[in-house]
Amino acid sequence: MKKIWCKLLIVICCVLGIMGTGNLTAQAAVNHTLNYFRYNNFKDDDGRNWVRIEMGMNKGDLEYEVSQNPDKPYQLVIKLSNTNRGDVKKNIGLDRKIARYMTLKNDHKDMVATVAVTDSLEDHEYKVYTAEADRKAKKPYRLVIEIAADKGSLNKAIGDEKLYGVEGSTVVIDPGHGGSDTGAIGPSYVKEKNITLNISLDVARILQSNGVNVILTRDTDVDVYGPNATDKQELQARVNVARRHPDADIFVSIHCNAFTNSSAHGTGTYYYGHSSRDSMLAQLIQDEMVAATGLYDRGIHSANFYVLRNSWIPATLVETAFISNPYEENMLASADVQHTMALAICKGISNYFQSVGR
Amino acid sequence: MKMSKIIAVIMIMIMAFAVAGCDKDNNQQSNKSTNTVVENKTEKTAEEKIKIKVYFPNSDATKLVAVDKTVKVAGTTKYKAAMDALMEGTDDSKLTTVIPKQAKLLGVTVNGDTAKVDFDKGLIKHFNGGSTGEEFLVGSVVNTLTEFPEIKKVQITIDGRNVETLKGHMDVSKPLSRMDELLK
Repeated sequence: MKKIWCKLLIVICCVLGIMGTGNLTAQAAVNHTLNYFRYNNFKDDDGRNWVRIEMGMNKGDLEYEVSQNPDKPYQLVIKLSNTNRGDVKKNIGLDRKIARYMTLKNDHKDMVATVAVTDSLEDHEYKVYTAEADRKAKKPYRLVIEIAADKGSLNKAIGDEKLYGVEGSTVVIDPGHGGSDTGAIGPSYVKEKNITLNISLDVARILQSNGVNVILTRDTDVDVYGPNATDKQELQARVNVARRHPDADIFVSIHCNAFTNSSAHGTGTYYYGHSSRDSMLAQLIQDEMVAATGLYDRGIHSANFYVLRNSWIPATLVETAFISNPYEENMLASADVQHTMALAICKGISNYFQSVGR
Repeated sequence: MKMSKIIAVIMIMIMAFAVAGCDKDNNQQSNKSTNTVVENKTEKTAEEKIKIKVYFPNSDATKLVAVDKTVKVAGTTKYKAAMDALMEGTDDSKLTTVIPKQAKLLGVTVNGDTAKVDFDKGLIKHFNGGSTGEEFLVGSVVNTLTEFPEIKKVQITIDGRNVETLKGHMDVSKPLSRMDELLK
C-alpha cells in the first residue's frame, strides 16, 4: 500500500514540475506586445491592387505561423507566438474591397490574427513577412500582411505559354473518343483516345494558367455518355457539355486522323460553318498547328460532323496528324510533340479571341 | 407446387410470344426482299452494258478521283452495279480502295431522288476511321451514286437501319447531297 502512494506522489510531483517549468519558460517568452496598427491600399508595378496591413510591436524576432482553414476559405489565419494584443482593438474594419475586417484574439500566450477576405483565398495572392523598425517612417518592428485583389502573376503563365486576349473566356475542350471507343489505332497500336486526352489535358492546363475557364468533356479514359451508348448518345453528350455552360465561348474537339492508305499525312481542321466565326477559329488553329509542327498543311474543311453541326457556339475539330501513318503515329506518341500541338492549339484560340473578342 | 406450375405457364407464354415475334421479323424481311426483287425486275435492262463513273480517293486522301468503268446491268440495277464496281476496288497505286473488303453490300433501293445504300456491320467493324477516312468513304459512295442525274441524295444504312455516324465524326443520319468539295 505504501509503495503505491509513494509512486503516485512521485508522478504528481513530476507532472507539476514539468508544468511549472513550462509556465516559467512561457512567461519569460511573452514579450511581444502590439503597439502599432495600420493598413493601406497600394498598386504594384503590374497595376494590381493590394491591401497592406502592418502590426507593429515592441520587440523583434517574432515567430509566426500562417494557415488557411479549408472549411473557411475566406479567412487567412496568422498565429503570432508569444504575443499580446496590447491596446489594439479586437475587431478592425479594413478596406472592404480586398479584405473586409480583421480580428485579434489572445490565445493563451499567443495571439491569433484572422483576416477576412472578400473572395476565397484561392483567388488571392498574399504575402506575410516581418519588417525591421523604420525610424524615418516612425514605424516599429512589425508583421506585414499583403493581400492582392487577384492571383495575378503568381498563377499566370510565363514564357512561351503566355497567351493574350483569352483571360476570362470559357472554352470547351473535347478529347476525341475515349473509354470503350478507342478511336483510330495506328500501325504500332497507338490509340487515338489516349493521344487526344494527353493533348487536351495540356491544352486545358495552358489555358487555365492564362485565366481561361476550361470545361473538358472528359478528363480521363471514359465514354462521355457511358459505356455501350449509341453513337448519337455519345456524340450528343459531348455537345451537351457545352450547352450546359451558357457562358461557353467556343468548342474545340481534338482528334487524330486516319485513312485506309498509310501514306495519307498532315494536319487539318474541320468546321461546320454556322457563322464565319467557325471557319475563322478553324483557320487560326490550323495556321498555328502547321507553323508549330511543320506537318503538311491539309487546310481547313467544312464538314457535316455531328459535334460541330449540333454545337450552338463556334466549334472546330482539329485533326492533329495521321495516326494511320507510321511516321506521324510516332510523332503523336511523343510527349514533346503532344505539347507542341497543345501550345499551337492554345495560340490559335488566343488569336481567335484577339480577332473577334468574346 | 402451384407456384412452379404458374411459372411454367408464364414461361411457355413468353416463349410463344418470342416465337411469334421471330415470325414477324422473318415476314418483314421476306417482304423486303420481295420488294427489291420487284424493283430489280422493273429496272432490269437485258444484257446491257453501261458506262459509269466510280470515285476513289487518291492515296494521300486529298481528293476523290473519278474512274470510268463499264458494267453489266444484267440481273441487277444500274445503281447496284455501280456500287459493286466501287466495292470491287482499284488496282491503281495512285488510288485507294477505301471501303473495307470485309464489308458487304446488302442492297441499293431508290425512292424518289434518294438512293438508300445498305451495308452490313462489316463496314464499321473493319474500317479504321478518322475524319478523312470517313469523309472519303462516304464521299466515294455518295458521289458514285449521284453520278446518275436522277439521284440527288444518298442515305447510308447499316443492316437496314439509319445510323448516326460510322466512326464518330460525320453525321450520316440523314440523306447526303453530292460532295463536290472532295473533287477539287
